[in-house]
Amino acid sequence: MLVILIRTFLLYFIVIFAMRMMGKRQAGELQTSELVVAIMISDVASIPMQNTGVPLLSGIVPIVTLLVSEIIVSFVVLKNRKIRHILSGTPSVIICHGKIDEKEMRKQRYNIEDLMEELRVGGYGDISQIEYALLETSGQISVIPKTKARPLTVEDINLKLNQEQIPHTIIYDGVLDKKELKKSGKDENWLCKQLHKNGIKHLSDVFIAATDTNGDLFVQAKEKKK
Amino acid sequence: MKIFLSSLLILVLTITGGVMADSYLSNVAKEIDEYCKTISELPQESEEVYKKAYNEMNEYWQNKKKTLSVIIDHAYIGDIDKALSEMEAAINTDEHGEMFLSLARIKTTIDMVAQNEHFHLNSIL
Repeated sequence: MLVILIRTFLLYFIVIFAMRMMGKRQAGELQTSELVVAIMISDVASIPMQNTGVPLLSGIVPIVTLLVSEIIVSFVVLKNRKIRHILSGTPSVIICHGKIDEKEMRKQRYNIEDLMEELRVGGYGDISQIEYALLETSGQISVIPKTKARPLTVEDINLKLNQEQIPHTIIYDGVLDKKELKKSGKDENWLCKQLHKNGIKHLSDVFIAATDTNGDLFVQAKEKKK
Repeated sequence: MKIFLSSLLILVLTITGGVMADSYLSNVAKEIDEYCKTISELPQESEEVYKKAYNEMNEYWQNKKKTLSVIIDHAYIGDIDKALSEMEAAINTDEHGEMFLSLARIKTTIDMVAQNEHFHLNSIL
């Protein structure tokens, strides 16, 4: 039992490391090769996890090989456009100038129900509002709406606003993240003043403190234990 | 670029490790074959000589077993251990037929394992 426990821990961390090395894509945005590798890695890892008769290397070597293959392929795909098109495909225009391209839909084996579902999920319930819809290589649909239907922007109403900044989580669960504080362009004195303004005396009383897109501090104190 | 080069390095190390493992396994298989051949060519009446040869082979196997358990399926190691135990029992009870049977099993198992792990088209297919 203990052997299975240790093996599971080891393989778990190896798989996490392998998936981490593969990059920052979320599961829904994986390319075909990445999805294949993810499925194969999880399958391969489970064999030595359950069967203590199989050497651990029999699980680790395939995982490492898959990871290395994926990294090499990603690198080659990055440098060579032709190979990228062969391995990842190219986006397909499903709706062009407001009209559904039936030929392209048949070619992609993409039915109308799936299309309508994706459009609704993307916030476009009315197909007449869409100028272009592209079926991306990840399987997701990108929509370019008609000009009259697109969301209003700040430029449209001639509003002048300052450029928004990246939000930074400076304190989480009472622990100060000095790197994030530095990145936000603020210092500890400023932070202390802001916390005092919000009635907080100690860092440890803070659940979360984060700068918003305007550079102001959002603070939430921890719930007091009854 | 760093990750790409690190991946290539890991690949090279894995291939090198595989070649070394293949070589190690082949050497062990050869040695076991030699032991089996030596035992099978011994004069059939000398039980003490059989025991001595068996002990030499068993000692060699026990030394190599730990390293081999990292490379090959433990079931094969178990099979060879079992065959060695049966061989010892056969030597002690003077059952030469059983002894040679166990010897054949040991030889077949280690040869099969070495062949399966060896890098050629048959193993890959």
